[in-house]
Amino acid sequence: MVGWHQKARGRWSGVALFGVLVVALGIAGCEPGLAPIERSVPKSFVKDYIALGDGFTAGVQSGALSKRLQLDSYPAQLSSAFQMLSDPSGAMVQPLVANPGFNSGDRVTAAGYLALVSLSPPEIVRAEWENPLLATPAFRDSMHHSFEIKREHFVPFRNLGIPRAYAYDLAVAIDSTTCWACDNGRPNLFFNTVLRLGLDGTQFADSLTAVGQAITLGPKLVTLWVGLAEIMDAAIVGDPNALPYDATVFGGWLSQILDTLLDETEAVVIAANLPSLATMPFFTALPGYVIDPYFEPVAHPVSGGRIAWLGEEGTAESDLQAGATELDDETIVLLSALELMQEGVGLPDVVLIRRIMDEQGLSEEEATAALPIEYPRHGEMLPASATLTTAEFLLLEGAVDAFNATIGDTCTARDVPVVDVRAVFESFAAGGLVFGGVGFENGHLTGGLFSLDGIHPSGVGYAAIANAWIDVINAETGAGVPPVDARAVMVP
Amino acid sequence: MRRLLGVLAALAALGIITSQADAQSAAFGQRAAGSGALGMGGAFAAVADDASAIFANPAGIARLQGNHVLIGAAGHVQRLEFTGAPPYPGYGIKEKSPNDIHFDPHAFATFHLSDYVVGGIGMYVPFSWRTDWQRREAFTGRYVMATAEMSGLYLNPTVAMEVTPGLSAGIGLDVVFTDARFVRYEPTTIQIDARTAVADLAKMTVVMDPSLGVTFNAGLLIDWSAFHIGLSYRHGLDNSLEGDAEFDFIGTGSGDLDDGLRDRLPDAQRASLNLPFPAVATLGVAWNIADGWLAAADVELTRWSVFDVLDFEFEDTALSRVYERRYEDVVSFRGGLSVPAGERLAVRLGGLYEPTPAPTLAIGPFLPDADRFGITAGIGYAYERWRLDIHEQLVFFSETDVSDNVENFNGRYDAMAWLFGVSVGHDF
Repeated sequence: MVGWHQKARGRWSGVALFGVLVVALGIAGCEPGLAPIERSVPKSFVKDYIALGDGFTAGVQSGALSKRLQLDSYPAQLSSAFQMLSDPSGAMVQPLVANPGFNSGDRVTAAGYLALVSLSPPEIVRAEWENPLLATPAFRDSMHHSFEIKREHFVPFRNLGIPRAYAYDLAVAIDSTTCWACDNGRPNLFFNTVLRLGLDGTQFADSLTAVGQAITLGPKLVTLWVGLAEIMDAAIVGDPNALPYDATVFGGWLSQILDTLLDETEAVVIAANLPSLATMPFFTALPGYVIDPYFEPVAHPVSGGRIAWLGEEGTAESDLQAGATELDDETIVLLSALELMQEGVGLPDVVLIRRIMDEQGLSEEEATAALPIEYPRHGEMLPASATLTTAEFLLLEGAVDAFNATIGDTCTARDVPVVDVRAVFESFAAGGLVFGGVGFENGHLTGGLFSLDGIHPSGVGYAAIANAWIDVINAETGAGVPPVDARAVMVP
Repeated sequence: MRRLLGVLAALAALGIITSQADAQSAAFGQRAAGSGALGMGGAFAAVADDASAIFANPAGIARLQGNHVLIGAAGHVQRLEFTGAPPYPGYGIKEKSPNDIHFDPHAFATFHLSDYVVGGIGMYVPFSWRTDWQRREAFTGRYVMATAEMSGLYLNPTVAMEVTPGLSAGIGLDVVFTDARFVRYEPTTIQIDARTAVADLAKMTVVMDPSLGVTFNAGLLIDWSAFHIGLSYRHGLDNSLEGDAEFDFIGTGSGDLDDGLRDRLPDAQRASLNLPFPAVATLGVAWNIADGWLAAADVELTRWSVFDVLDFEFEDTALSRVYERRYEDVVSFRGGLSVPAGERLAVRLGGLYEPTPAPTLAIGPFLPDADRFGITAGIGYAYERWRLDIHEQLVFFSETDVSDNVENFNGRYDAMAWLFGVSVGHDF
């Protein structure tokens, strides 16, 4: 085959045309690729970063402060992000508590974290503390509980998050007996743990508060997230009146903390606001009607509709349980009520009898006889401490709003930036997050963003919170800190 | 003719099975011309001097004398590496594609219907892709997509005529067979020992039913002395695929938890995916510098903006996923030179530059892409009624850092590809 071009003759006047094309191709072809990501992190952030706060800062998950879970705390993840490109040796030093940890819900018992043992039906147990005496150099407090704290760490911890610590406590409390909510019978032992008290009866330093210890370290960056413990202590007992103080008092303590940090350190101080309770599974996981162990609604034996919980805060008389009142479906049943329900509390007897018949194949008569054995607290109503009426819930949400307004005003007055953690939690509830094609949302048990206690985030949830801090840190300092490695906090 | 169609049918089947390349053109576009054209970087819209003009510019076949058959295949080996970045999958993660060799077959035939009218038929694969990874079961992006393969095979009957001396026009009907298969791992999040675990609930395999679509292409060629201008247009195609999704349970290995997870295993079901093919318009110029010396350049606009979102829908809507692509239209450039080396031999050189249409948010395990720069070389040998063309091409991809991927799978992509091919032509 002879191509047409082979018959043609050149026209040198076309050189210009091809020159343009060749140059255009050359320019396009030589266009450089995307530049590699350049990051820079001031070294001082790695070694001189201090976190102040409550259990959310300490890294509480699944109802306990426990070593494996503390390593997923947002300050630890922030520190890892600082290390990634700057100083691998500068790991966050935290008051690690030996697994299975220490129960944040009960300040004196030795129960550890919650664990999911079955999904069908869902079953959660609290891990037992089988080996209270640890081989590592032990730290013993007056209650003879062991903590995995190494002797060489006789300097303040950089994570000064103390479970259930209020703003007052960070500024004033020096041990487990001087915190706001501590009375003589039930001291908050986490203060001793985090503030390094109790080793051979000595203290790290005389009468130093969490803020005082932070100052001794000469931090360059301080993250401060406080106020949620005050709200949660009231919310988890279903009583807005249990709020320790109002937003005005809170603002006073917050001001004192900020002023102290700003006056006595060179640190960049960054604060955070508080999330809405409505975004936490603790307040949303249980529906406003009776469910079976698989979380499916139980049908009313007569109407076929849904059955109301029996509760002290109900107003209407129950048609299934004589002498009991039933909750309206707007009343929030707290996740903590699950434990009571396993003993029969809150469910009409007819529901429990039907359950025994179905599960054990007994007759109605036999099931009725077995009722007191299977469900020793049957017939009891859910106590007011396990529920929140709409009015109570609005009061608590109002307190969150008031605290947030105070945080905003107090920080703005001092040019302290505020991380919008409220927005992070709202994103959990509104579709959740995606990491590598894996969807995470705020559902209980399998949502992935909250731990089993339904209040504290999981490691992945803390990763999202850490990234929100990083956004503000970068905006404030221009540091270019990379996002945290979320995969590192997931069990592969 | 019957024998010819038999050969085309066989190659069509082969094309569905083997076409895998994704290195020849931006995103999942392919240069489906013969090796003669590819030796010049694929700049062929104004040259169009063999039967593969059916792909590059159908007007070109009007100038061919006699009847022609051209068959061949182009192979490619691609090295694709991924280095993870936070937040997911994080530093220290390295992934690689398997070093497989893949082939795209092509076949073209032209025949004179009258003195001025030439008919032809082509079979080629202008759109295809395959994304696969080593360690598929442990690939960190398997929840986005572990394997994606798609092939759009065109059967392209064409007619062209010389309208006036120096002006030719051609038009073709494109009958498009699309075949696709996807493998994705379905994750579930669960609390194991108080920490959030991501477990593989199931391996999902979606095999799309072969689909049939129809579109068209057209071209013009203007010869002006030693200069030639070619215009070529291939219309886009709305491609809707449907297929069967199957799920193989994997679980956590913990009996108590797996009992609950089995309840969540989706049933086998139907799935659908929209997969549009973009319209492509090419302007080419060619210049016969001297006897046997030929230079050519193409500028091509591809309407990748049709690739805005991919709706992967399932009967169980919880499995449905919208893959946001937000591709942009791109202009790419190709140029080449053919130099005689003796009476029967021609040496060809070429280059190409093709920017990626994909914004970084769309670059991920489903369909990685990057700006690419390529150099090509080839030889052509003519002996009586036979013609043999061989080409080779190296494609260098820009290193691409992704930090805003919509599936939050971030890191650095680095790739390079080696392409080669052969075409054999016969005049009769």
